Amino acid sequence: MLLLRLAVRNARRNVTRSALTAFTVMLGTALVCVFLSWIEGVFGTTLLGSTNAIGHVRVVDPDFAQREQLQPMYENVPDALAFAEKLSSKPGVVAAFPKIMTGATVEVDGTIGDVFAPVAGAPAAYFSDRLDAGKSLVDGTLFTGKGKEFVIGVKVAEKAKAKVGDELVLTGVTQDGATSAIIGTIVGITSGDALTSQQIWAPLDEIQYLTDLGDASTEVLVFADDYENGSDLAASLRADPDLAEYTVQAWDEREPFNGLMQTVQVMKVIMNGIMVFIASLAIWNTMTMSVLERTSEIGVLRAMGLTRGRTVLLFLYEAVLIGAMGGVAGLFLGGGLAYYLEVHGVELGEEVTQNMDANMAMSSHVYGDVNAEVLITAFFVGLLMAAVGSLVPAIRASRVEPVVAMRA
Amino acid sequence: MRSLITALCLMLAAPALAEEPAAAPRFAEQPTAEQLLSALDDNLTFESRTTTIKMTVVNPRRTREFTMRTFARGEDEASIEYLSPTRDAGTKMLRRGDELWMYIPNVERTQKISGHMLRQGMMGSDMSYEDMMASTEWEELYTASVTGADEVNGRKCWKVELLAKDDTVTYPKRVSCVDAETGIPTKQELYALSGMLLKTWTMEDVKIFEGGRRFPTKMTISDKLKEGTYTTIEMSDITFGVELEDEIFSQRWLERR
Repeated sequence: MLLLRLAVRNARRNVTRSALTAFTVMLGTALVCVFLSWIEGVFGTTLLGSTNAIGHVRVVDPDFAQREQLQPMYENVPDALAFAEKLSSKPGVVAAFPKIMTGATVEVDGTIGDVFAPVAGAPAAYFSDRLDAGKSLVDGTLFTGKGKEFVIGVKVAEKAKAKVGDELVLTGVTQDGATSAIIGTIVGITSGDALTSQQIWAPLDEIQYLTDLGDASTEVLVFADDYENGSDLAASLRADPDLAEYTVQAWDEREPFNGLMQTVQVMKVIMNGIMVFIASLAIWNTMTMSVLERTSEIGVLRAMGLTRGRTVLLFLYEAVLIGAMGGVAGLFLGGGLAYYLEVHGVELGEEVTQNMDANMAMSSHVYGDVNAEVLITAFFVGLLMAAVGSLVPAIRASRVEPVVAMRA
Repeated sequence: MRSLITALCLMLAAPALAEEPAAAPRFAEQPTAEQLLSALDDNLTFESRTTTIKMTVVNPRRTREFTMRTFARGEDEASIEYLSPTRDAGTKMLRRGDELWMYIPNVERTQKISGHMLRQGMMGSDMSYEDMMASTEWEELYTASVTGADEVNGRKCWKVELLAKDDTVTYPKRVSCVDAETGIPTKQELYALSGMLLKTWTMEDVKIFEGGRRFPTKMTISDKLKEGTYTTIEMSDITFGVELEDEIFSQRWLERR
């Protein structure tokens, strides 16, 4: 308690210097707060959209999972609709949809091979319920169920010079690699993220014909009530004897999300590290000055029996005190800015998001996400800044010899 | 030497007069590369032909059979109509010079095949559209040299190595074994620029046709980039020198039911 009182007194001795130090910590904490909330918001929104597209969990043939990049469509899930129906009744499963992803060239003036687009074939409910496709429609409608229909992304429409009502021929390959084609009418054009801008959506049976898969699909997407429960659902499905012959993967076990999650964590650590380093320099400066100014006083305290350890603690308390003040102020500043981002967001422009990887459903208008985890992390990063910055001067103070100090 | 599709058509044309020729070896001594290439031309060049082909595409999972009727005139015009299986019946292809069109009946459209599509296997076979389109003017495109004698299926052949004069050809290196007796390239190995073996192509069941033309009636192509696949092409009802209407080589024919 005595040390704490001394620390408070020391901090108040040079108010300007302490305020400047607290200001630095405040800025650091605010930046950490804004950065973390931004990352949480952008990444969270992207994950929500992306996992809705790829499923919280998916069930595939083991060979398909192993060689997915080669698109071995012959490694598939037979009788896919019935299988998805069966999966829907499993505990923890909210919905299940068969899906086929393939590629096709889009006819432009009778020439194929020039405009290429990824094509997703799935039941209409998948597009409307999971992808919330209605919101991304910029022209026309979703599937009406009246026949052979396509919904195409705005980027595909631009390249193919296509519009709602046009007949579209998709030429792709069967599971054996033979050329195959389907024809249909464009009923809607979607825009927004890369997924809704770059893909062509078609009814499952049409893509089953295009790929000559019969009643099969390359994957069955399974949804829990929240994507964060994907891992638990995957674990439960893996234990189900009905799925013994399949590979069950949670979304975060799949490319690119498994690597991306680690990357985001590394980014957070690096950003926090940079902030700690910069603010620590300011604290280090303040504490060093404080030690130099109070050499005599430290000598007296040491002569009166203050141990080296308690001397270190004295300066740590002072630094943490200043850091805490700066941290709290930083939370108000950073929290306010982050809240603004959460409410209003930032428009990145569709040009940016439309051209991203088609697996990343990143909205063109992104929002921050302020939550308790962000605020607590930012505050403790502020305290860490103070503690790290004060450590060297505190140790230096503890090494002051009482006699030498008093002479000085 | 004509295009591969021409060779394919040739195999279909002209009534077979005899089985394996029993004539004296045409190239008992090591011939020059020019002599061998000239022999290939003599056997495989034609004015026109019609034929029926059975193409069997084998992969580790399933075997598919296609039947098609083909027509060819000179080295630049060829057309194919698929007769079976049901899914592909009515599909037609037309090659005129360097251009290739395909009519797909279920979409009732004629589409020109270009870009990356050309590298796909024709109906999923080991023969790509690019293979069909590739010029086989080997004397023009390659520097040829005879590297010695070899044996294919117990028959003596002369090994010819063809190195592309520029890198734009589909296969920068070919190694062919030309039968010493028939002058038919009974085995070919097709390599990439890196030296990787891309495809092997064998020709067998050589028959003698009118005018002494020797012609293989069975080919086996294996794409070495695909695991466990091969495609055999067997020809029957081969007729050379038939009158073919211009319409057969037009887009109108493609869309005619």
